[in-house]
Parts: sequence; C-alpha cells; structure tokens
Amino acid sequence: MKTQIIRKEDYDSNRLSIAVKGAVMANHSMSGQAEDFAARVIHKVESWLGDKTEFTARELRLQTAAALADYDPDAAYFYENEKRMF
Amino acid sequence: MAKVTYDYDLIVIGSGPAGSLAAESAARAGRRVAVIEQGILGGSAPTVGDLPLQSLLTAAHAFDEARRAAQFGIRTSTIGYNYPSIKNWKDLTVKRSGVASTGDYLRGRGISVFKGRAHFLSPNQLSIARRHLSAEKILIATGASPAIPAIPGLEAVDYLTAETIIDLIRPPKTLMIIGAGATGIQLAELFAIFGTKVYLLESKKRILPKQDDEVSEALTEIFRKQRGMEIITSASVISVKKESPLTRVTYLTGEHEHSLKVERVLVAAGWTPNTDIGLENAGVEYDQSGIHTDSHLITSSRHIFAAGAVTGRSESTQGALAQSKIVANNMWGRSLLTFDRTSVPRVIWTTPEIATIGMNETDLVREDIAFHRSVVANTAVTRANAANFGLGFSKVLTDAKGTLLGATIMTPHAAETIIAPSLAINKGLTAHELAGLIPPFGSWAEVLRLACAKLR
Amino acid sequence: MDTNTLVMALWLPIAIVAIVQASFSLSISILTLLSGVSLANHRAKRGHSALMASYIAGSMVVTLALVVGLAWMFKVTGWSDNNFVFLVLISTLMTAGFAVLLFYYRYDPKGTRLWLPRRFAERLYAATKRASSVDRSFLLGGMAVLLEIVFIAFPMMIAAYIASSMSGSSYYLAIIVYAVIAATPQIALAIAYSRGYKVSAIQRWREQNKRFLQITAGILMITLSIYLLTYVA
Repeated sequence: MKTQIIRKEDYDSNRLSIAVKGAVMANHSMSGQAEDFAARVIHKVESWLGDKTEFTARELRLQTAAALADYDPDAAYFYENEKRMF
Repeated sequence: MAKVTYDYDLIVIGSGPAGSLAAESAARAGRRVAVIEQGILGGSAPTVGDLPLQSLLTAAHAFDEARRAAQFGIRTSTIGYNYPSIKNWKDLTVKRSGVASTGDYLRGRGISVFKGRAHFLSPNQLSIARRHLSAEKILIATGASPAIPAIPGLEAVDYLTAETIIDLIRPPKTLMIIGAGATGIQLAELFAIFGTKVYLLESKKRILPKQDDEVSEALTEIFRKQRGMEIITSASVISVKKESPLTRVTYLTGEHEHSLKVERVLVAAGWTPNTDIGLENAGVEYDQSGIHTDSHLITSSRHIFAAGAVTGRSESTQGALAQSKIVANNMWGRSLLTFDRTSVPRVIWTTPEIATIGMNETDLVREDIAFHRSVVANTAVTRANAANFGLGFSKVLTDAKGTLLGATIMTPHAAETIIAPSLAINKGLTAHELAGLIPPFGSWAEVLRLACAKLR
Repeated sequence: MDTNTLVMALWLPIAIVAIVQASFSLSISILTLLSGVSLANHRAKRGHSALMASYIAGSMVVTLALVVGLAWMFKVTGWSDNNFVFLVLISTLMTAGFAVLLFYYRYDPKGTRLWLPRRFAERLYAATKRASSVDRSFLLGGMAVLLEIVFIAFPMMIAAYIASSMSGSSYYLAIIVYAVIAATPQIALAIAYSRGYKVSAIQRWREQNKRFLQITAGILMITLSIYLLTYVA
C-alpha cells in the first residue's frame, strides 16, 4: 500500500465539524442533532489526537467515523465511505 | 527500476526488551539501525515494571519470612519496616540497573536513538515530531499500557495503576484492587504483607482465571487465611466516587449491590497494547488484543514485525526477549524461526511462587487434546517439613505417550524449578525421563520429580 | 414480422440492453452523493427534489442524444441492414460483458469503488460536492453518462442499431423506452431519497450487492450477445 503525501495542512476542527454535521444531515437528521453529535465527535477525535504531531487524512476519517458511530451509525457509515462511492 | 533507498535498514519502535535485543543484533550485523522511544529509554520493565516490583517484593518477602521465623525460635518482637527506606531501595535498584544510560549504550553500538512519538505515515515511513524517517524493515515493540475500564466516576478519582503504585511513599490502610490477574495478585500480596487491608475484586468466578483451578483455590485460601484479604469474585464495579478522604467503590455480585470505602483504588484490569501509532497507514492489521502476526512474528505488511506485549501474545519480559531474538533472526535470516507461546515460562511472584510452562488443563480441554495429569502436594517432600511450609503443589500434564505438555509449580523458588520442565517441553522429553533426574534431597524440586514419577 | 418475432427480435433486446445500462453504477453513485450533499447543505425538500430531477434529466438527455445520434448514423450509412456490422456490435457487446465481469468494480471489500482512474474519481467527487444548483446538477447527470461511455457505448449501440431498423413511431418509441428503462434506478432512488430513505441504507445495500449486480450485468451482456447471434445466424 502506497501513501503519497500530496500536501500538508493544519488540523482544522471547524472543517471537521462541518463535515460531520454534513454526514449526519445527509441521513435526514435535524441540524440541532447534527450540531450536538459534531461537538461530541470533535471532543473524542481531539482526545485521540492527543500529542500527535502528524497523522494522515485517512486516519482522521477512520477515527471520526468510529467516534460518530457511537451516536449515528448511518452517518458514520456515510462519512467513512462517501469517498469510496466512485 | 531505480532501487529505493531508505534512511535505515531497520527502525525499532520501542527500546524495551522486545525491541532492544533485535536492534543490537541487527547493528552487530552491520545494518543501519534506529530506535525510537516515546517514554523512558530501556522500556517499562526496568523502570516501572518487573525490576521495581521485584525489589519491593524482595523486601516484602524478607519481612514476611522474618516474621515467620518466630516458629523456628527466632525472636521477632522488634521486627518492623520503614516504607520510605523500602522505596529508596527500589529506586536504588532501578538506578543500579543502568537504565538511565540506555541511550549512550545504544549509540555506542552504532544505533541512532530518537526520542519522541513515532507515527506511521506510510508502510515504510514514520513521523517523529514532524521529522520523517524511512526504513526497509520496521519492528514494532511499543509494549502495552495498563487497561483502564470504563467505570463511571473513575476518571475523577486518583486511582493507581501497576506503574504508579510502586511510587507510593507509604502503604495505604485499605486498598481495593480491581482485577485479580497476575499483576493484581502480586500487588495484593505486596501490600497485604505491609499491613494494608486488601480487597481483591475479580469479574470472573475465581482469581487468576487464566491458571488452573487448583492454583486459584490454593491461593484464595492463602490470601484469605494468611493475608487477611477479602476476595470478591463474579463482581463488577459499577461506580467509583470520591468521598474525601476515602473512595467509595460500588459493585454488583449477581443482583446484589455492595459498596466499600477504601483509601486507594488500584486498577489492575489487564493491559492494552500500544497500537495507536498509525498502523492503518502501514497496512498492519490489529485489534483490541494486539497486532496480528503469524508464527514468525511478521505482520500483515511483510516488512513489518511485531514483538512483545503489543502482539498480545506475550505479557512477560522473558517472552518479549524470546520474541525479539526470533525477530532478529527472521528479518534477514534464510530460515524462519517460529514463536511458540507455550515454550515461555510464566511466573507469578507470590508466596509460594507460581510458575507455569506449556499448556494448562483449560487449554488442553479447549483444544480437545487427551492428557494425563499428576498433582503432588508440597507436603510430600522433606523440605516442607523442615521449612514448615506445606502450601502448594506441583502438577504435570502429559499426552498419551508421556511427553510433557505442561507443568504448574506452586512452591517456593518455583521460578527456578520451572527450568527443568521448560527444557523437557522444548526438547520433547517425557515425564519418565524427567523423573529420572536426581534433585538434591531436601529441595523443592523433589515435588516435581514425584509428580513426574506418578505418571510413569 | 409477427408480434412474437417483433418482441423477441426487437423489443426484448432493447429492454435488456437498457437494463444493462441501468445496472451500471456510476450514475447511481453520483446521485447518492448528490442527495447527501444536498441534505447536508440544508436544502429544502423542494430544492432537493429539483436537484435530483435535474440530474436525472441531464442523464436522460445525454442518453437520448447519444442513442439518436448513433441510430441516425446507422441509418445514414446504411449499416442498419448490414449483418456484418451487427456481428461486430454483438462481438463488442460480448467483450464488454467479460470486461464488466472482470474490471467493473475495483477490489475493495468496502464501498463501491469503480474502474475509474483515481484522479478522475477524485475530481468527480469534488464536482459532485460542489453541485449546489440545478444547472450544475443537470451537467453532472450528462457527465455521468459520458464518463461511463467505455461500458455504456456497447449496449447503447445495440439499442441504436435495432431502433434504426424500425420506422415511424416505433423508432422514437424504442429510443424513449431505452432511455426511460436506463434511468429507472435513478428515478426510483430519487423518489426514495425525497421520501426520507437514508443514503447510507441504500449505499449499504449497493455495497452488499455490488458483485451480484456486476455479475448480472456481465452475464446479461454475454447472454444477449449469444441470443442475438442466433438471430443473425
């Protein structure tokens, strides 16, 4: 398995939050619930981040999906697999 | 096609016993080697694991033996202990081990040492504090950390683990130990000897659930009658709450709820492999029990190896060393060696010591292997009489032909006696052949010989 | 030609090749993601439905345009009566069937990753995420058909060839029937999503049944080729 480092960027919790909210709402959930889930997921993901200095986008996606699965398994599935549709 | 060049031939993640032996071996063979360590160089065994625990247990057992000496006519009325001095002794043994100079030692052998947290970015590339290193082969020897169960309220309480309890400056008056595996048992005995009222709580039906029934039964009796411990089995902790200056632990046994107030809580609920190092990026398969390897200790990525507690197949330092040796061979060797977990002795440093090798009865029943068993109590030998210590036994398991499959020795100095059945299992010897050995008269090894002789 | 022969020789093959095009995944994948993105962007129900409808319209328009174009070409060149040309089309259909069986889905236990080169797939993903208006979604629908032309072309050419041998209203009806059947899964899904079906549920079903769909499409193409060969023979 080959991983190419295409670009580096700083972790952005806002961007992740928007993506998580999108995944939750894509499954017909309300925006309020999406906000709530996103906040909890960000908290869990940032606990995982801990003192890591670098990690890959793929890992971030897997961890976010795992955290989201505790609250909305359908949204977590969609979030994890949306890039696997094509 | 241009040959890929790497920074190193081998990168070892973790400088403990599982990693350092393989690193040194590769460096001796002229390979370019780097070791990455996040915590203390030398790993946990000499700093917060085996060595400090052994030092404390040595002091505890000496104190215990001294108190027992009254039965031999020794005056013991003034025997006591000073715990800060015992802790100083423990710190001295750690200092004397030379672990602080591990970095210099490795560098002296031509090994590059990096301090920091390693994280896989790709199968051959690691990130350490934003610095990128690549290697042709990688050995993961990150060990394991104390497992912390999700008990409500536990995070708010200043609980102890096996790695932090050894730094206490005095034994607590009361101690609740959650988990009665090898780690919990050893610490229970340690603090019970120094006067702590110990409550030992286990979720399974008996303490030491991975050992055979006889071990659990014998130790339960010893702990209850001689150490004054309270043993609570088939229990699950449902909450922990600080009620200054004590801590309330609430647990369920069946449908009944109970609660206890103790000074300190020790969580000894097993070990979690340290696998949060970006293994997905390296294509290495793993789960909660550890990194998946084949019998040659190769992971799902053929150039990545794993050894020690991180594999979930070895919880002991001797197991980690054995695996490290195998990995050192398998990395560039022509013929691959296999790791057989049953060939590594396991020891629990209680009184009496408990040493096991090979398969136990539970393993044999589960795998549907027919076996013969022989158990001899320690009281059968002269030494038990002379030492006035009859607790314990030796147990031998063989197949239909008499070849040794496993042994459990619960006697003083069992850690030394287990070498004989260990050799027998490795060489495929029979109980008959082992019974032909002549142990010194009055030694504890006679119990083992008698157990083997019964199977002739 | 009697009715039975008409159906077996003309309408049945058109229906089957339309089903084959319907079974191809790319347009469904794009529609699924589009639905998810639309809901994620707080789109009102009407807006969401409009987006789905314009996507399907784009897909059908391009399908119709291609089939009409191909049928016109067969008529103008006189190939619509040429058995050799028909044999070539049948052979390519059969080859495409084997290609679908072998290459259509990439090996990945999760998801529904297709044969598309990864760079194209990433760009398509990004384009779908940005499709927030009706006109963009219409273009996306058309693009979905064109991107899969490597596989869609062969059933489409068979349909165009058969249609070109028809005359009058049958010719137009054949082309419309083809386009509608080919778009049926998209229409069904769009209705489902608008009615509250979760995209993840549909996607899970697709993931679990992707091999079945792949094998069905491939075998249908191969079987139809053999069937049509018997008619030519």
